[in-house]
Amino acid sequence: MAEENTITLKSSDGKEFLISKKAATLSETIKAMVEEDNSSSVFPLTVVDSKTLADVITFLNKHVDCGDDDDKKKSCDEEFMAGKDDMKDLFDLVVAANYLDVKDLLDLICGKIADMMQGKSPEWVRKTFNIQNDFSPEEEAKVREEYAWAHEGVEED
Amino acid sequence: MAEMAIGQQLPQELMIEILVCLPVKSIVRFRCVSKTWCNMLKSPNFINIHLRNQRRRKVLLVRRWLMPQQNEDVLSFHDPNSPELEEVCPKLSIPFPKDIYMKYGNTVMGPCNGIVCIFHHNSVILCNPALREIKALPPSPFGLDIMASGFGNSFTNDYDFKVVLLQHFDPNREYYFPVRVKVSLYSVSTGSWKQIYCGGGGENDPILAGSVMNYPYTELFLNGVCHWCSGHPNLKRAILSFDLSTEVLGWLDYPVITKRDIFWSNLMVINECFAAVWFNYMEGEPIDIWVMKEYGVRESWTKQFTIGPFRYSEPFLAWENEWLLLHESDEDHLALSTSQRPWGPFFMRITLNSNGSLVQTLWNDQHRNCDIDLIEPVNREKWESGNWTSGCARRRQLQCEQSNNASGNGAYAHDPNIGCMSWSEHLIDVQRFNGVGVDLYIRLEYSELDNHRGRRLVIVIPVVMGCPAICIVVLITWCWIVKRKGKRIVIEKDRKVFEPGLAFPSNSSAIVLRDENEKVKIEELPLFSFEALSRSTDNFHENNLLGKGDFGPVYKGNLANEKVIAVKRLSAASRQGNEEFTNEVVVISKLQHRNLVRLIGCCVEREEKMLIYEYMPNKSLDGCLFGIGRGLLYLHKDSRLKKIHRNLKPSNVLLDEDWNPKISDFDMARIFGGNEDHCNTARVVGTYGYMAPEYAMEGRFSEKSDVYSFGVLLLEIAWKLWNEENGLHFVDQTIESSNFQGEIVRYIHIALLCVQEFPNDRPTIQTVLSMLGREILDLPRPEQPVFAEKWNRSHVGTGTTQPSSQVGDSNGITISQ
Repeated sequence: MAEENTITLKSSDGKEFLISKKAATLSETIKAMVEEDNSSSVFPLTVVDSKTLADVITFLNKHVDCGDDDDKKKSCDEEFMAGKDDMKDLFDLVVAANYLDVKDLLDLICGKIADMMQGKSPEWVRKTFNIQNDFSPEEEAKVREEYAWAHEGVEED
Repeated sequence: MAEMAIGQQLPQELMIEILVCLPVKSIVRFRCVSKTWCNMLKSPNFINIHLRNQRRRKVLLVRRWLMPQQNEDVLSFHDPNSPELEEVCPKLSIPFPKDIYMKYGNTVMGPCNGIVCIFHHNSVILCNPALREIKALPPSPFGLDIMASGFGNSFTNDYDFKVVLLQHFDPNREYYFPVRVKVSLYSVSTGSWKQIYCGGGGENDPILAGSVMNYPYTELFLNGVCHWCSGHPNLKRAILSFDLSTEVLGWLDYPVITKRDIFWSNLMVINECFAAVWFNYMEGEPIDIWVMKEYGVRESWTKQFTIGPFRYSEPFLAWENEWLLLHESDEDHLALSTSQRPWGPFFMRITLNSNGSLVQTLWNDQHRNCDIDLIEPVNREKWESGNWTSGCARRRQLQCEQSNNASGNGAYAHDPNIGCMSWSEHLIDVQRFNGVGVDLYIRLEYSELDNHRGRRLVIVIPVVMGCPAICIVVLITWCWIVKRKGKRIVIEKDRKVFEPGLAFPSNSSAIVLRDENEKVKIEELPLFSFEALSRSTDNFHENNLLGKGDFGPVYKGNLANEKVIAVKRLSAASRQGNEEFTNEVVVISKLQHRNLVRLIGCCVEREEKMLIYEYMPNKSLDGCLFGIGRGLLYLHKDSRLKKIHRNLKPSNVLLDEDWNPKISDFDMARIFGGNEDHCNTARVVGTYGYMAPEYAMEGRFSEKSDVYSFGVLLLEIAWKLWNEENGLHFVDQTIESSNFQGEIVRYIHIALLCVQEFPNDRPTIQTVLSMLGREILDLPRPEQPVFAEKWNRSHVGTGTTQPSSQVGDSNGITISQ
């Protein structure tokens, strides 16, 4: 019985994680996999490394425990997000959440990243997200001037 | 490049997922990250996702608002009508420590303690963090007002929006005031008050206009004629104006200071009844507001201004002390009394008419007489009854008026700070102060001088000062003419009141007369002497009293030639009597129809005004509907001018010897221009019960209001017949009872059609006649008659979309008995 209610997820670096079917199917991607292939019990996730997958599984389990109550969900989310402020980890998580199609997790991480971004300068954004500045200095100055009010109170990098 | 690799490039769709969580300010800032980002963040697609996301996340946002230190986290909201990202930006977010109200169109929402966010196109969000509640409103076509109740406050307008923060001075007042407004450098006008406030309005509505071209100056126009103005400020620092609608920002001082945030002033429309002029002379000086009605200043308020300039980024501050009411006119007829500030602009309404010969005034309420000695009320009767609208005039007309144009002066004054001021036509910005101010010089007819030597006013004497003998001769001649033409002058004097351009919109009779003045000659009617009428009615003996009309008793009289007349004596106490009288004379003298009462003549002597009609021996009777209908048809359609009777009821239908019905009592009749269909009036007159709901409630009347009254009349008759049929057996033997019942049903059916709620649904009197005459056999089903309480504004102008009534077939109910 127990076996029927759990599945095994295999990370890109080969580690295996046991998770309840109920929690796993919160991910739309895994849900589709399970429905497609009833016979297997091990599902390889080639784009998610073990560290990130562990986080994702923690999140999924928490959400099963928390149920549908909004307030409870919120406190679960806060608990889950505590200490997660490394941008690299967050990027991995958001990519994983996107791939696994876990809407709640995606929202949570996106919101977190946005929170970390919102007071930052455009320079910080370029560096963090590895974006090429294709403005000429004049163009950039013009855009900045146009929306000067939006540049008030920007945090130091 | 290598060090950039610390960062991680996320797929664009993921990046968007993150960016849509950002507040607007950050989104706008990140436009300068790169061109790609700029285009992405500006794209309608992104904006839509952002919008959806913000709505989804609004609970989170509310939580953030509770932490005011995160001042970046202003609420962001998207205006769905505009795809531009700018529209996502809140123009302003204002935390309100006290209750706020929001006025949306005519609806007031609130109170709500929280934050207001204002967006382009006036979309607004009102949120209450404590309740986790957000109210978002679509853009209002009328603009939005936000009110902070009992809480003076202010904000600056860095981002150019049209929303006005309002405050109210006093919870009992029916209006609110803007907290902060823009100032224009140019001449501005508020436009029609009604138009601004509720989208309607007409050219007769009051308009407030201002100019700062040479000096700050505000004028109030009615019917296109200036009849109030603020006067010249006589201090160098004085300042005024102006308007939101011009979108021109600027602060002007006089003569030269342009420092933002020290000073503001404006003209603005508060609602359809009020406008305001408000101004602040200098930082630290009190701020003054005049509440304007169409006649001028109704109230003036002042408040000590204690807080310095406001900036968007600065904390939101309140004015500490309450507004103080300086003056208030206790009636709308009254002008405001003097300002306590010696340097304040003058205000008093004195108007010369177009030919420069009359002075019109509304004096302050402490001086209910003309206090410039040598001019006096134009219409003393009105003046004494408290209606000062016709104003004052020079007691004697200038005899050398033509030279007025040459010299340009009807009056002048000199102020060291302003220079010489002169008035050639309208003396509308003068006010008497106690002990301060400058002398006003009014040009008067020189014959006045002998009698008023040593008065306070200095009189400018016309150049020609003939010998005293000529003066005396002129005086004597003048007196003689007055005496000789006694009656005529009385009439002409009355008529002068209704000179074109002096009419007020609320004054219904005046409007009538404005059109008719030149064509009608009252003198053509036979004039009866008071003595003759008194004799014919036995000194107005009670035995001869026929009845009491709305404006006075009606007596039966016998003339010497044995002719019997009805004399309607207008009561002297009636304030409006004069206008109504003239109106009735004008209307009736032009009408001739076998179903209308004929006017034989009138009497105007001293305070007495009387109308002489043909006598109707059978008094009034509630029958003969055809006659009444035809009389109405004549009034509405067949006579040269369309008229609305406005007071149709059984007692106003008289019967002659042959029982011919004749419509009488035209006091309320109102003449319509050829292409006018309906009209509004401030003065609803008539008899309750017979008045159509839209007329009784809102003053809107049309020929369909008469149809309504006719319907009520029909119903009354039908009811009477019904009672007779069923209970009293008084039915005339000649009426066959079987037909009779059908007739009653038909009456009731037609009557019900006449008393339908919407004027458009009611048939015209022409159609009613055809129905009564059985030319039209199939009658449409009437809508349910409306009860007065049900009537409200929202019904106005809507068509027949009312759902079919559940009252069913009224006929059926009647027949089943």
